[in-house]
Amino acid sequence: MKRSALALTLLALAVGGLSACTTVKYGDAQSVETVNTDFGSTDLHLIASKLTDSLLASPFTAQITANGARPVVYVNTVSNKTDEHIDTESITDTISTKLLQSGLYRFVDPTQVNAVRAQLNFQNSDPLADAGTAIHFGQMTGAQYMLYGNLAGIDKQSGDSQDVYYKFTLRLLDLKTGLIDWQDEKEIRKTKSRGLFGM
Amino acid sequence: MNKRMLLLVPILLLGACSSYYQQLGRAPDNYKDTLKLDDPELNTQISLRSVQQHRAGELLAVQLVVHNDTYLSHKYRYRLEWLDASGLEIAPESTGWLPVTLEGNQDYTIEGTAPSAAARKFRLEFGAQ
Repeated sequence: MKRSALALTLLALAVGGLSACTTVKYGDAQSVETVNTDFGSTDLHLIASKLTDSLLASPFTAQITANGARPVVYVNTVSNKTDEHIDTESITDTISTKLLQSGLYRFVDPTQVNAVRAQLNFQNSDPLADAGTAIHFGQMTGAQYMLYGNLAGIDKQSGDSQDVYYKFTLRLLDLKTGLIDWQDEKEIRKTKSRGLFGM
Repeated sequence: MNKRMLLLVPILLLGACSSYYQQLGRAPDNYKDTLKLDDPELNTQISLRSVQQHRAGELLAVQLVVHNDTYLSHKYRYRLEWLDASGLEIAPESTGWLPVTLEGNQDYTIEGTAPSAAARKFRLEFGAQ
């Protein structure tokens, strides 16, 4: 009887040990993520889809893209006014990807100017480069509009419950006139409360 | 008796393998194939009440109203699928699942703009969160 009890205990330990092994698996990057109340991938999807849809469906976009025109946009930084570390560039990257894929907008990237200058210097002055295929200086297209905005947040905690509020505001500014031609915002509220048994 | 039980095992295993489920949900007559459900239970909970569509410049824009037909609050996820003229989905990886909590008997409006001018049709996919 004692032997069988020992064997059962060992078996239970072995099964328990196996189930405690670390596993790695791929998940759906688009699925809803609710690990905690911090800014997450689902918040990024919510903001990007709402604001992209809003800009693409706006009368302003219909007006400036009429007759096949494709306005050139420069994406400026989005200031993060929350207490959290949030990569706001990732949000604007997703928005600019969707806008570019729509075929209605084009983008310039001033952060790559040094790399572009180095490449054009190579093409135009290095003896290794074929001068006939070199791209000449002074032909870059200037942006007509600037996309920028800010992310604000309010975080409240009381006991075991927490309420987090985010507001992302995005604006499109006409670089010639200084007028804001389009603006929209997306609000997100997330709450966390502890269960009856602290789960 | 034991042999019969053994025969049941592969049947049960096959049933477990085909647990991923999709069916069309209740929708207005002109949009019968617009609402896709990931769970058979949702057919008694969710229905598509109305669909409006128009062209925003070159892009197809839609507004759909879904209704929670129960008296309870439920957590769902949804995504809009955009299809081109051949019925192929456009940019499937760029349309993520979005969360929504519907209170009992609540109408909820979902708006979307097609990711490109190639979109001709759309589908709303609903699942439990």
